[in-house]
This record gives sequence, C-alpha cells and structure tokens, in this order.
Amino acid sequence: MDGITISKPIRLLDNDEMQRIHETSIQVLSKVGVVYEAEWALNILKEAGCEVDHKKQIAKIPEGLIEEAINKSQRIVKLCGRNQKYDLTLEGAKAYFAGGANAVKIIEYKGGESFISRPATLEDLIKLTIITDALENIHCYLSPVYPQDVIQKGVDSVKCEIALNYTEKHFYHDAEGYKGALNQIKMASIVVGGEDKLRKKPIISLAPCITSPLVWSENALGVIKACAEKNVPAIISSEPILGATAPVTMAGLLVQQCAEVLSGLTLSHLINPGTPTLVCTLPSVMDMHTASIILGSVETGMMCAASAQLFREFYGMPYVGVGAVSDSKIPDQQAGYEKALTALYGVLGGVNLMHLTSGMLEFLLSVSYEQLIIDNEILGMVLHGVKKLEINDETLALDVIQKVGPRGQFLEQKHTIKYMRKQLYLPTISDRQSREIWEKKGAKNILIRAKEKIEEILKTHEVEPLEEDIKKILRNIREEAQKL
Amino acid sequence: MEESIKNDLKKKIAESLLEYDEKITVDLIKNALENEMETLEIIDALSKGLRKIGDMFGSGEVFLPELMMAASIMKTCMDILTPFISESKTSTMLGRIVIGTVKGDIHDIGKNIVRSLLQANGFEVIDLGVDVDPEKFIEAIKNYKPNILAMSALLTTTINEMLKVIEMLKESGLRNHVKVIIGGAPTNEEYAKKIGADAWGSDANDAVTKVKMLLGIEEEK
Repeated sequence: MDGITISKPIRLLDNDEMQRIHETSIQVLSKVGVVYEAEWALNILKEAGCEVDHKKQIAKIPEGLIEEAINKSQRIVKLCGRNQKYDLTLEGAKAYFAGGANAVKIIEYKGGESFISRPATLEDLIKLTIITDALENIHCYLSPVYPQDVIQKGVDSVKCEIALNYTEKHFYHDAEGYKGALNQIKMASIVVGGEDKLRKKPIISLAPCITSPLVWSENALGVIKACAEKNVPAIISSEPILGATAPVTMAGLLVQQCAEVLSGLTLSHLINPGTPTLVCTLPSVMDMHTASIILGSVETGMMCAASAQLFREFYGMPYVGVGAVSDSKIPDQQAGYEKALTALYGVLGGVNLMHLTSGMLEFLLSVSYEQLIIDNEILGMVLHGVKKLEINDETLALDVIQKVGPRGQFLEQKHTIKYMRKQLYLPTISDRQSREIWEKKGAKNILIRAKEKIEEILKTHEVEPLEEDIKKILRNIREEAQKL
Repeated sequence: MEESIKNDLKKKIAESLLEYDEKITVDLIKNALENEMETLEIIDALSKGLRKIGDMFGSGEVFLPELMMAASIMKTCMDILTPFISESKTSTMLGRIVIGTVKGDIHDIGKNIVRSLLQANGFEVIDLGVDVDPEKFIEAIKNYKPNILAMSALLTTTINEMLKVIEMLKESGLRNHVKVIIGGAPTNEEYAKKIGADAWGSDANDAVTKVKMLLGIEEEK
C-alpha cells in the first residue's frame, strides 16, 4: 500500500533545538537512569557498561551505548500484511494510518440525539475488525476493542486470533509479557508458514510500552526480549502525560519521551543488534482543572509533529505517532474537529504511522462504529490534502483554457474527465447534495449515513479466510493460553 | 451479418461509451453501418450504453463530466445516423424533449446536465442551445412535436422570458400539446406555478423525475 509522502513537512524545531533536546535526554539517561524491573535486563545493561543499582533496579546508560543503539536502528522499516497489497514501508516523511486500539466500551447510536454506552464484546471485536479491513484509509490494524465478555487471561491471544482471521492488513498489538508475546509470534508464524518466513514477512509487530516516567515493567521488557529474539518488529512506545507523568512543558516532555524510547532501543539492540525496531510516542495532556487525561487537544498534534521531525531529521528513524483522536463522549462536532485537527497536524509534521486514528472517543475508552466510518473519511481527506501539487504542461492546462475560451465551461472537456478523480477527493459519506434532494432522501444526518455504510460493509466485505487446519491450530493455542 | 458478430458489435458499441472517446464510438457505428446493421439496432445499442452510464451516475461510480461527454458522443452519433432512419426512429425512446436556455442567458452548464441526464434515461432530446428566442422555441415545438418543453435560466433578469414563451404557446394554440418544465437557480416551485408551467425541477435529477411524472412513466427502483 502506498502512503503519501509529505514533500515539505512542517518544522517546529531548529537544528540546535533538536540537538539540545537530544543532549538533555542523554543527561536524563546517564544521570537519572531508567528502572528496568527484570534482573536479566539489568544484567545485560551492566555487562554492556551501564551503571546499575540492582536494589533500585536502575540502570544509568552512557552516551556511547545510546549512540550505538541509534546507529543500529533501521532507517526503513517494512511491515507486511497477510495480503501483500497491504505491505507498508515506513521511511522519510511518508504517512500511513493505523486504527484504534483496546477500547473497553462501545458507544451505540440509537437515532436522534440518543446514545448508550455499553461494554465491548467479542462480537464487536470481530465486526470492527472486518469493517477496519474494508476501510481504504486505514492501512494497519490494531485491535479496536478489548472484549469484556471473554476470559481475561490470555486475552492477547484472543485478539491475535481475531486479527489473523479477520484482517489481511498488518496488525500491531500489545502482549502479556514474554510468554504472551511468544504466543502471538507463534500464531502469526503459523499463518505465514514458519518463523523464518515471518522474519521476511512480518505480519505482526508488538508494542512494548514504558511506564512514564522512566520505568520498564517486567511485562514490557518481556515483549522487548521476545521481539528481539524472534526478529519481530518492536514498536518501542512511550505514553507520557504532559503535567502528570512528564513535565508540563512540551520541551520537557520531548526530552523525557526521547530518553524513554532510547532506553528501550538500547536494550533491544543489546539483545539482538539490528533487530527491527520502531519508536512510538503518545503524548497526552492532563487537564489542569479536572485532572482528566485528554488526547484530542491541539498540544497532542504539536507534540506529534515535533516528535516526527526529531525522529526523522535527528535520529533518522521512522516514527509512530497518534492523531485523529478525541475526548468527546459521542460522535459529535467536537469529535469531528479534534480528530481532523490532530490528524492533519501530525501528518503535516511527517508522522510515518499514525495510530489510534479510527473509531475512538472519550480519550481511548470507547469506540463508535459510526465514528469509525467518519474517521475513514477524515483520514482520506487528510491524505489527499497533503499531496504535492502536480505541476506540468498538462496540469497547467493552457491547451484546454485556449480550447474553452472566454464564456465557455470546462465540465465537458476530456481534460476534466482525465484529471477529476486524481485531483479531487471523492468523499464516501459526506453530504454534498442540494437541500431538496437531501430532504427527499430522508434528511439523514451523518450518523445515519455512517450506519448504512456499516451495514453495507458487513453484508458485502469478504476477508480471505485462513485454511481450516490453520484456524484449528490457532484456536488450540488460544484455548491453551486462556486456561486458568 | 452473422448473429454472433452482430451481438458482439452491439455490445462493443454500448461499452465504447465508457471510453469517453468520440472517435472510438463513431468508428464502431460507421463499421456497423458498413456491415448493414439496422440503424435502429445501432441506436438501441447506444441507448443501452448511455443508460448504463446513467445508472452508474446514479450510484456514484460515474461523474457528471463523464455522463455529459457520453451524452455528447451520443448526440454526434445520432447526427450521423439520422439520415439513415425513417419516421419510426423514436420508437425506442421514452419521449421527445425540446430544451434550451432562455433569451439573454448564455449559461448552459445546468441545461447541459439536464440534457445529458434525460438522454441517459432514454429520452430523445433536441437541444436549442443558449440565448434562445421565444419564437425559436415555438418553431421547434411546431417542427418536432415534443412531449415536453424544458427551459432554463440562471439570471434573475432573464427568467421572465419563460413567461413570454408560455404566453406565446397559448397564443399559437400549442399549450395543450406540450408539457412545460422549468429550472435554474432563480426559479422555484412558486414561480413555476405563477407563470403556468407544469413542473419545476429543483436540480437535474429532480428534473428527470418530474419529466417522468409528467409523462406518467414509473420510476424504476
């Protein structure tokens, strides 16, 4: 799948400012240090030259080691889909979108102004996976919901099984520690025909996430280890909250998140130098009145754009950011503008893979089916809107201007037919009809139109099924993982 | 001409409209004429193609410029075919419509859209163009004996031309022989009633619906 390359990403930082952020991160890593809650990790770091306090589980990382990790990180990362047409190449300022993840509730639209909020189920997970597979502007899949009606032990293997069965796109998941990660890697390798094949065709990537500020939990370290051992892309993640788990200044947050992901990269490349890695940050904000954590704020867009610049220009590595997010409780105007603004900001900054982009509301707690459809449209507009303008003899159109002349019109020109589909974004659910026609067709609001689209997708969209014996093996692995 | 070859050529003619290339379609119908295919069969193939494009326009797959281009190719083909056909030529059409933008108004985009949509829906359309004198409308109605007269205006300063045409229809005793539909930005339902038109189209799609209503044609759905 082809992402859109931003020809001139916006720059929020000067070169010397990036240098200062980096130098401060080095100070944090070498002077403050990072907690690694696993002896094996501390031992590896100590052997590599870190100053380790085993009692406090803190490792202070010297600059040389960090530089080494940066040098070993891949500049270009390929993520594959079960279907080759969904392969993604993360590089430069090329943008892709990944869906929403791990919401626990569904916002159900009941018509008019009425909504209900209820727990997400396994059935929702399957349906949302199929819909996400069908939506053309979501290039990569994350499990949109965390099903509440299944045994919670080994639920990561449930999500993995659903992803393998119901989408042909690349999927990126969290995992329950080392064992959970190995389990998911095993499931994915069975689908592609073995671990060797998975190395060449990584259809799964896993996202170990640091607990801000500066703590790698045993679980997250286990995921780093499993990925490095199996050469599966690790998306080293940091999710700092401005003013709560990170300094309130955006510069301070950038420093801390750089230190955090670099501390993860360092361990990854000590375990297996050159293992595929990506960095991901999810900078949110704590509202200073209510103490609620918010994501749809313009600061999230700013920090993602700045992070994208930093990782692309300074570190030379692809960056996974966040956008098209909202704190609204229902799919309303607030959801619309927050999502459009954060998506556009991040993409203009050069985020390579923007995740959590679709369906999510209420910070990251809820998913709305209708919003998922609306978001696909927002993302399509953003992708179209950041394209470079095509300037050549034909697009400058002197010939056709001459042909039509004064008082003419361009609607009936071959030139129009040739270029209209490429030049104009063609929305799927936005309403552009006259009021008379709109009224005649039932005066449907966007939620009703989105609902119709959902029904159409669920009725018509087909995901290439796995072979029966593979399905059975996956089911057995999942059942084993869920045994209490 | 063998039946299978003939059917193949008819299919090609119908599908060629989707290329939006006048030369391709014109070459095909010339080929059909040379091979002595019945003119009515050629028209039928073209109509099928155009109707398909009309359906695809309805479902959003085809866009306005494509529909208009296909309709304009259809018109070129009809000009070529007309000398070869007898009076019965409209037998495959749903009805005949005379259309034009009124005197003083040279805006033709809206009118052309309506023309294209009508053609795509199986009507024969005689387009008088823009800046059409009331006398020219009357003359066309005498000559072509259409089922419908469709008039368009964009300027508020020209809409009263529509009233003039309707008055002239009455004076020449033609008013009962033809249904009148009007449209264009400054017009509305009320105005249509006021000047004694039979219908008003709020936009191109609505115009087609109203024309069908006036002629008692059931809408497919």
